[in-house]
Amino acid sequence: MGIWLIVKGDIRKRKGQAAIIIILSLLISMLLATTVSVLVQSHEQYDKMAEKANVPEAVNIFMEGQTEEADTVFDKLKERPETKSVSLEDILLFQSPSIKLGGEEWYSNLTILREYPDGYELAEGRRGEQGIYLPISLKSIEHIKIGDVVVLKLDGRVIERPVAGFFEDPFLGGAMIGVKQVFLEAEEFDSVFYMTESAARKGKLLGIWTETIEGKSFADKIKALNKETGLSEGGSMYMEQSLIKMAMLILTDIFLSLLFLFSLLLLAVMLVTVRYMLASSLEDDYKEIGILSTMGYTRGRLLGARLLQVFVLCAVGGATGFAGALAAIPSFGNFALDETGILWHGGIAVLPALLAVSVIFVIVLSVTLKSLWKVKKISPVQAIRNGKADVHFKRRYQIPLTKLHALPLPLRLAVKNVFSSLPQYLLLIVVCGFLIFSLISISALNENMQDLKKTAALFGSAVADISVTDHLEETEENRQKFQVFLDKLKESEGIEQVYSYDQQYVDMDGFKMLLGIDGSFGETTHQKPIEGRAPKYDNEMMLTKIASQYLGKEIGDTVTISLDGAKADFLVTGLYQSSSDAGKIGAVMTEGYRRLVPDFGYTSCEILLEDNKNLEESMQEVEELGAEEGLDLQVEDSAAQVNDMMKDAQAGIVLLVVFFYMLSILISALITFLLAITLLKRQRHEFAVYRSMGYPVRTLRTAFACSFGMIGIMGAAFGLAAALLLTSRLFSAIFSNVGISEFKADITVTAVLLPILIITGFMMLFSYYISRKIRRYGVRQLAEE
Amino acid sequence: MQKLIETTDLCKSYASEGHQIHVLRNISIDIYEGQFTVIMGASGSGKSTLLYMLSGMDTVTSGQVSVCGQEIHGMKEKEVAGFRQETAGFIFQQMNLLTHMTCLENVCVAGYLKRGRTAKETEAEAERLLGLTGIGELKRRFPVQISGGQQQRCAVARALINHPKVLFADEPTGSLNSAAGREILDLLYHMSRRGQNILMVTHDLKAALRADRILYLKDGKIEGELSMPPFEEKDTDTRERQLIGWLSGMGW
Repeated sequence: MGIWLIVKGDIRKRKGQAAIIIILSLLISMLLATTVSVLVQSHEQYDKMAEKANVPEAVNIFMEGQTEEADTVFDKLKERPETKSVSLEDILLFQSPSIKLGGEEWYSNLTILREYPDGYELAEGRRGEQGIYLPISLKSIEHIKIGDVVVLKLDGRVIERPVAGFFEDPFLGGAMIGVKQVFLEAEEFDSVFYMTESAARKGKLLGIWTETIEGKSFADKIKALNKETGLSEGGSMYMEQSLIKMAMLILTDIFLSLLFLFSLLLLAVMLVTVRYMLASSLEDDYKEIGILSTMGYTRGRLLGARLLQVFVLCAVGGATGFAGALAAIPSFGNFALDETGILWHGGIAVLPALLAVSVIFVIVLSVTLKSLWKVKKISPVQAIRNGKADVHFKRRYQIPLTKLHALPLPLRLAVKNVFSSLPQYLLLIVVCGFLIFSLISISALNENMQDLKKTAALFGSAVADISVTDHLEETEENRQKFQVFLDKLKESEGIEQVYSYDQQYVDMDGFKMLLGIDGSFGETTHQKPIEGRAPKYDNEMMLTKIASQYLGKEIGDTVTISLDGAKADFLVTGLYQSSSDAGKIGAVMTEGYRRLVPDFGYTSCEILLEDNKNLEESMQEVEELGAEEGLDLQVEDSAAQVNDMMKDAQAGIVLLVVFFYMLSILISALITFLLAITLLKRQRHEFAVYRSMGYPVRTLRTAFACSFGMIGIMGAAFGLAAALLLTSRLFSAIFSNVGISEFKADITVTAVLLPILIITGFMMLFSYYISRKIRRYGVRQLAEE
Repeated sequence: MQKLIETTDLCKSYASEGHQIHVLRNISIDIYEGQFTVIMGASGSGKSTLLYMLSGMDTVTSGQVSVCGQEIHGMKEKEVAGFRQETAGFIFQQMNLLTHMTCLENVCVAGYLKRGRTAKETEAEAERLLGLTGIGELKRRFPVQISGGQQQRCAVARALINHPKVLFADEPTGSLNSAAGREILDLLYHMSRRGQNILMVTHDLKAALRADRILYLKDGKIEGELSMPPFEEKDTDTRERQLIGWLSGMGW
């Protein structure tokens, strides 16, 4: 009972500090419970949805001229013990500009038109309509609604179908997957499929489900199937479900990882805050502790009382945060899954969320216990007689006031005050450092993401202004025409660089993997080695770090690549990074690929302009040059394409940046409030003395705010150093699962200055506002009657 | 003699637990230039309250206070600050030095407020005053490194740095031992003879001996006043007897 009385009394005495612990616990538990729940449940929901829709463990898309091969592989697969089930269905394939959504051009790598499969349920709309069904993600990505018209161009005919509904798609629905699938009712699909004469539009979708075999992983089974059925050598596009899941949830996972890290940052802030508050309250209550000891309270009980106090406050904040998470999760879940292709159906993941929050609070209580341990060393007699001794001047850092002539008076006082009482400000310096570090990091990520060329370079993609694709049939004559066009293009004015790049699924050491074919290693910003060197000869290749680990091959090892019966060995000369196929990719030179496909030639190229201000004009010139050579060119604005793909990720990052800034401002306000109130209380005697000398309140308030400004600058130095040291490493860890093992964060001046100015500025504003209390610290309190 | 401070019907009262406590009641006094004036009274008589109101450190409930012709009642915060910078210097019983500053800095921090003087000039003046008060060699020391008497000397130097018209002293020897107390009184008297107007509050008989004029405060009212010739060391006993006699008459 007595202990409870002490706890209540102490909370009443330090209402502000108690409120801050409650608010921080609330924020941490809410953010953590929400993040963990959405993270866990988005993966669970994906798995459930994929099971319901019967998404194959691996798919291979066979295109024009490969349909017979598809039948052979299908038959062989059926016979294998590793195969549980296999499916083969007819599909129609579309690419921009042969498909339009809602009357608008739709940039689509590949759109598969399928018969409405079993297992897929409509999230919106009705079955049985004479219309087309689209993945739900297109609603937000392309802003399509029911009734909008989808235009398909087939054999010179135009087929128009209204959108009849949207389905959740755990297969190809994510914004980060270039391929999409759309459905027609069975009869509709048959009529469209059989009226299509062009073989170029027809393809087959092969789906594989494997048996559970003890001691064999999925990779082992696929390797065996590749070897025995030729699965890896055929088809144009191969995907595994694990890769699809990763690609679908990539943005969700990245956002949630960042939020999770931010929760940890809040935890660090809370730990520092709790330590500071306990230290200052022990200092204030030194005498009281002595008095309570003389009453018979053991020091253990007194320690327990303070521990209980922190526990109670954390529990109140934690429970409120949990309740807040319950309310926030649906809208947060919908936001997080907005572009994944599936909708949010979950709630709070009670056990994981509770576990995460409990771990956090155990950490907080452990730190509390450690901070309180000094209670056990307090001697009651000494405490009552002397109280807590003043901090001895020798422990202070002194800067003579007489050496600060160059500064205005308030700033002089601030410098003197901060340096002579530096330990008091350490809390804020550390918190400020953490906040500025997180803001610099997230701002750097944002700046990288907003600049498309930087983003492309970062993700190992091609950086260009104009993309050109030739649609003529792939014959030797046409390839030569395109080569002549390339040569002429390189000679043209205003062109900085022309390069070609292609990708092809091949068999690499028994695994079907993507192979990049590069005509200009070392000349472009993408596919630069991060270890070793780029290939110089036709028997050399590079692997991404992820592919290197997947295949178990290092620099100096040999990888066997086979395609359509041709086989060649390549020496790994370097490691690079790419986000294509989540980093499971290798790259060879054009000459290297010709060892497998001797008549290979490029039918597309990327153009970098010296100045892209007159992009339209340049595109027109390229088109005219192509027409002169008799080519059927599709000339596109690369930036617009990438922008189209990246706009949602960019918008998400911007939202995250805004969220981080708002939360950081809130935290800096809380901590500034806490510290300012404590400092004002401690320094009120000093303020009264200053006022007795004739210092105006405004000067003292300005000096007080300047102290916080200096703290902000010191914290900024700490935060900047941490950002320079850790940002790239941090993002490398987050992005490593999407193929970016070495994230080089481009920390710009804006990314550094903005957080520093905002946090420091707000701290100064908050502290100036709180310092209005100085008005109350009159000289009268100095009177000794 | 010219009036330095003039009060008319000065009152101060506080509300405490529903009751109005009248600390000062209709005080009308004049303090003159060139004098070392002391206000005496028993504990709780309101002498420090009076000093704080005369020095503009506290607000009045009613009545008027004029210092050097300036009406200080009703001054705005900025004007009060200006008044403290230019007109009034203050010495407290508890010294109230800033613990994180050296003696020199404690003096300078007040001096920097004076307009029309550079920082260098302020520092030179601070050093001169510290020398004058006898602690010139301790200027780099922090308050905790020097004795109470030395701290009070530093406080005197701080109070004088802006050459105030009046030096207000609230029990400046109250927390010092007798030797240190005597040194401070000698210092104040020395300043007074050099033309510094001083108004001091004390309940210490020995402290009051150096005064030219003594006002006696009782229950918030001026009970009486005593004018004495300039202090001389050799007359100490005579002055003391005279003062005791007068104070006894006042009911001290």
